[in-house]
Amino acid sequence: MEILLIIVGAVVLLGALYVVLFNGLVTAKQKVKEAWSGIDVQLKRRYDLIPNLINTVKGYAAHEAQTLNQVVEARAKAMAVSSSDKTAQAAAENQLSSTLKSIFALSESYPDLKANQNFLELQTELSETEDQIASARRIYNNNVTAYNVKVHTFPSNVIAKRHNFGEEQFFEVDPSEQTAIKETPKVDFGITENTVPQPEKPVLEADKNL
Amino acid sequence: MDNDLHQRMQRLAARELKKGTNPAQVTELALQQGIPNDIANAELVRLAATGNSMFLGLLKKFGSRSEQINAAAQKSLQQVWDPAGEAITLNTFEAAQAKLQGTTKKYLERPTLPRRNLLLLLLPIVATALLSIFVPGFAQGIIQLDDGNGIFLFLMPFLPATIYVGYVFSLQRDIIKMLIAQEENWIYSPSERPERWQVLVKKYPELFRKGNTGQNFQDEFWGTTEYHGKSVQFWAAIFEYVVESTDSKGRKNRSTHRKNVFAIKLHKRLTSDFRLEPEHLGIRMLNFFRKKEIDTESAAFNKTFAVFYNGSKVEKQLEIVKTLSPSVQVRLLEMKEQFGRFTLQFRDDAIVIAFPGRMMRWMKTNFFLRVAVDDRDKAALRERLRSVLDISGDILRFLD
Repeated sequence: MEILLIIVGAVVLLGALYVVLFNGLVTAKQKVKEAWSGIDVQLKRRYDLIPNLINTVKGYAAHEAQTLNQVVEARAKAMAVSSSDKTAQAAAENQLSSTLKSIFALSESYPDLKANQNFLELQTELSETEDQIASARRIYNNNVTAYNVKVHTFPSNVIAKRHNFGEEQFFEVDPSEQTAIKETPKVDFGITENTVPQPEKPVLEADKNL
Repeated sequence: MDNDLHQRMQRLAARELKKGTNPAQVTELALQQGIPNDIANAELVRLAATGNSMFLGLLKKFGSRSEQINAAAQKSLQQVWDPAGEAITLNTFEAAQAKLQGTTKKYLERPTLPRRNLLLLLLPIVATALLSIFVPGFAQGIIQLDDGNGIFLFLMPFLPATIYVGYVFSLQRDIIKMLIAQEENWIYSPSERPERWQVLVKKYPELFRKGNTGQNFQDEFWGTTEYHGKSVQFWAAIFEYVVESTDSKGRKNRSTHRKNVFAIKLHKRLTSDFRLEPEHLGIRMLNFFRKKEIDTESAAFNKTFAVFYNGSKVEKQLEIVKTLSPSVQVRLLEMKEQFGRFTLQFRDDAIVIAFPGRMMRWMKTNFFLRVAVDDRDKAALRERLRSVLDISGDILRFLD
């Protein structure tokens, strides 16, 4: 009788442990998804800000069509990448961050643009959004680490294998890209203040895409 | 050449300030010494702008014909932001600061005073030690007195020296804080103010309704600091309270607790009113059963902090999660790494942070060895204050 009770007790304990571990995995995976949607919200906010930025800049720096087109293309590329491929999305977003930096570097050569209130507000908003993206990415990666540790360590790895809990991808910044994001790129257009072109109505490839 | 003249004017102004000379006469004296009027005026404007209380006092007494000096003085007399809404200006704590400066001066004039006082207060200890050695049964006799309570009698000679050492160390700390406040153009109050607690406990009961007696605020700072081109107004203080309790045997226990408190003014009013506290199992269970737990997307944040608020979860969740944006969460986690467990209240146009521990623990300054402030102590405290303010300023960027 005693042995039977011990066996029943052990089975109940094992069952409870199974449920706890399974729920832990589900919760951790859910947190990864939530954190990803946190990144997504910030990325969308950045996509929404870019057309306004392009419109403001092209009024002052119409001759920089190439730079503006690069931003538009990088935005379109980032929006087109499937969110399930984190590596590709990270690369596309990093590319977009870099091209945005070159737009802000442009303002150094166009004093009127630099003084434009709308441009300044957009610059602040985009810089804050970049910061929010970086923070959201940090939260996401922390959650991925916590989840992946569960997937790979005993005893939860047994349940993970049984229920097909796979490893999650990190949303990483390539080290070279990271340096590029932190440093303001130095852009030399060979333009002095005296030769700064006057604002004119530009015809941009970018217009078609926005 | 100009630098020379500026320095000469600074020295002249400092000298005449101590004498209490009329500012108008200081300008005349400067002219007599070959210092041009514009340089003399610029230095006096700078003095007024830094809020030098002695100079402001002289301006109040004698007035000034220079509009620039008056404008600078007016500006430095303006009220600073205070979380309790108290009217605080540079002159509010002049008397307390003057007292502290007076004590400092006394020690500077007689640098051997702390050491001599301490030696005098050590005499009863030496006497007790000698009696214990040379008079057989002296120590045992005292200890066995009055039902074993004689041990306290035996330790009595240690009391005056201990109290004096505590007083001198506390004075050192106050002087260091006052010097930092003067250099940063902040306002500093060294006094213990129980009446301040009466006001603040009404506004922030969750943070300050602690202890059963002895609640007060001390070592208060008010000031403004710059962060990423934005001015950050703050108030910092030490909140002290005493917990008295009686155990099952009727013995009374008394413990004093201290917390560092920082209040930072936001540039807008918050729509949400909530508090973050260090998370632990008890709080998690309580919130779970009250169906009030609010989780963010960050597993690390949820493990570190519990969210407290009034009202229903359905109503408040959205506002709170919106305030706790990814950047705010990451900064709060960094703050926890740096300062340990803390409580943070988001209310109206301010955030209030309270965390245990001392801002100054081991000081290099030791008046018993040398009456002078060690620059390393100043630098260490300044760095601690700055790091709280910087991280708060960083949080503010995303709340404003």
